[in-house]
Amino acid sequence: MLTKYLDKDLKITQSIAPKVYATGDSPVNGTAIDRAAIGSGGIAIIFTVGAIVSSGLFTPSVQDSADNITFADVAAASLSTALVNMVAATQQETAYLGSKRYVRAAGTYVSGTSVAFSATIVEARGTLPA
Amino acid sequence: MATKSDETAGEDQADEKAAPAQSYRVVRGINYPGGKTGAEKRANVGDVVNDLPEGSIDWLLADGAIEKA
Repeated sequence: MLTKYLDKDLKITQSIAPKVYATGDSPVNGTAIDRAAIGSGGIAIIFTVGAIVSSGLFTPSVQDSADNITFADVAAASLSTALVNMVAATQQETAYLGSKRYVRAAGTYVSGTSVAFSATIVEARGTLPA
Repeated sequence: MATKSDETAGEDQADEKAAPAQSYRVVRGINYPGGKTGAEKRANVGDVVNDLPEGSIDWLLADGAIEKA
């Protein structure tokens, strides 16, 4: 059986640190990854939610940028799976299909008391799409 | 009757006035620097803004995230 060291092929970045987010924390803008840094060939963004208190509603999103200064919400067509409001103790994944250099996770706190939330970006080493 | 020189002087005065910043309508939500505390500002779909970072405007227009208002 062929054994591969996945850590050589993947780069995993914590875009939004795990934390209990409340109304005053919104919007939550994650740390951006620079796809040029490792020649990113593909990206998956993983959102994880823990406890939700008092029907807390948190909307995850993905933003991209060409200059790492201004970030735009990624169009639905540039995500493999549409993101929906988070449900307690669940996870959502989507792949970024766009071509911008900088990508980050984001979230908007809509209602309720608090939501335990984090987001991780997984990059496959490769070459940037044309 | 206004003379040629009067007309020219008027044009010169108009030239000296700062051109109003171009406004853009947000097509997809954007975050950009500019908050008084250094925090990012958020503009949602339909908002009209005129304080976007100059260097970001071209790619935002090309990407369809904003349009001229």
